[in-house]
Amino acid sequence: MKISVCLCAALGAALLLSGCGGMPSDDPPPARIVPSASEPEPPAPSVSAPAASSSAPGPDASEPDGPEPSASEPAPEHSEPDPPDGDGEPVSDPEQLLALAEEADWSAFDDVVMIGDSVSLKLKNFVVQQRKTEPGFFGTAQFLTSGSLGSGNALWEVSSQSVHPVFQGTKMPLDQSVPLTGAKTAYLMLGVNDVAVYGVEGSVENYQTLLDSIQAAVPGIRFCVQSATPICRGAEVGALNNETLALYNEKLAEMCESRGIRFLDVASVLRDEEGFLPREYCSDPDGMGIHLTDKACRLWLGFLLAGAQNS
Amino acid sequence: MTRQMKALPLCALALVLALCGCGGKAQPEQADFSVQEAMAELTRTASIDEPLTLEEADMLDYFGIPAESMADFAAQTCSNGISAQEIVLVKAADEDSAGTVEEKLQARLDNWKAEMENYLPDQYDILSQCRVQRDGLYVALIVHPEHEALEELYRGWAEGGK
Repeated sequence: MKISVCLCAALGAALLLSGCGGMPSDDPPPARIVPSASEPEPPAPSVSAPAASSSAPGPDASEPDGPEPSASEPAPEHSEPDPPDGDGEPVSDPEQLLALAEEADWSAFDDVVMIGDSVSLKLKNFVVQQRKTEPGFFGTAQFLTSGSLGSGNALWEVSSQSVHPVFQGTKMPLDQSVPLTGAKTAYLMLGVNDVAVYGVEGSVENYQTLLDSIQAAVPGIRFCVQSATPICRGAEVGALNNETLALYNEKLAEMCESRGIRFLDVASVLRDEEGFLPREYCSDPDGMGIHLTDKACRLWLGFLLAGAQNS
Repeated sequence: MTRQMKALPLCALALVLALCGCGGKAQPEQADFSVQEAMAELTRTASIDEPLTLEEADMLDYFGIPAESMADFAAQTCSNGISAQEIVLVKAADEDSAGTVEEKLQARLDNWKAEMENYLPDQYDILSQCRVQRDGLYVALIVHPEHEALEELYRGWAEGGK
């Protein structure tokens, strides 16, 4: 009898203590390191671009006259919405632009999406930082930016190797992401990642195709095309130089005029007398020489605001 | 020897056998720590250049991680747009959300690598060595030139809490 009691006690203890293991299904999964996916897929451009241009253009590029072309009938093959009005003299004095950016009413940028490469990515981060202390800074403008984006690779199919901007974490082509932003105006700055690969003409051609694709997705959208910003002294490499960029900007301005699109020569306030990006505006003067400081971002935004106030 | 005394070894044996069943497979202790404190220690060790601290809305914008997926988070990125420096620590709201957060941060890392591969190869090299880590509800992405030291610090938090 007493033996059976002891055995029962031991069995009872065993049943109680077996609860120490816990419920395996409640355990969190063990720590695991997720390896990066690697899917070597070749990029698949959906537009055939001309071969890369290896030589700089011969003639000196001249600055476009002012950022606002007069309103004109759109070219027959394009159906563009009426461009924003803008006949005032552009503000170009840096001190004025910086002061403008300090005291601004940014509501003109509430329905704007900024599309661009790493130069615009810096602008995005600058704006996000400013909004922490000034919630209305740059309105509610949104950004679709990606480090090595160009008008050429923006036309590729999405793949593990493509560099389309993400919208809320998902990589997608601009003709899908722009509609999701709800923006009514798209400001674009592209070219630095194009001119050395596609040449000036090819880059402008790709730009047009990109604008067409976005417009097809958002029929009423207005475009503001911004000039590509210059390179810091000593950082020009091969076909990626200020002379080529100046010619590219000139061709871009011509394209915009033919389509009735507003062209904003942002580069005009970010270059010195010799056409270089000043070191005080450059965050990587000893590197690529194209990325901007906070001061340059503020100048850029002041320029855009001046343009919006003139319209 | 009385019957009770003879029974004692049997009981002891039964008890020992019962206790052996409790050992089972050693389960790691579920860490429970403050991601803010972990972030503070990490950035004290190796700071991020021109740091931009991301808020809740930024987590959706930059990574696609909605607020409801997170019980807590701490995130900083380099604002210059070209340096591979970013630390994202998330305590997810639940297991499903942890899976979502893990996917989003993995996508972030993969997309970033694609951007940098032919653009800034030295930054791509840093990114290639970094990875998303998940420990239960905690998910982390540590991208930094000193990522090894930072990961080691983070493992201390994730594996035992502090």
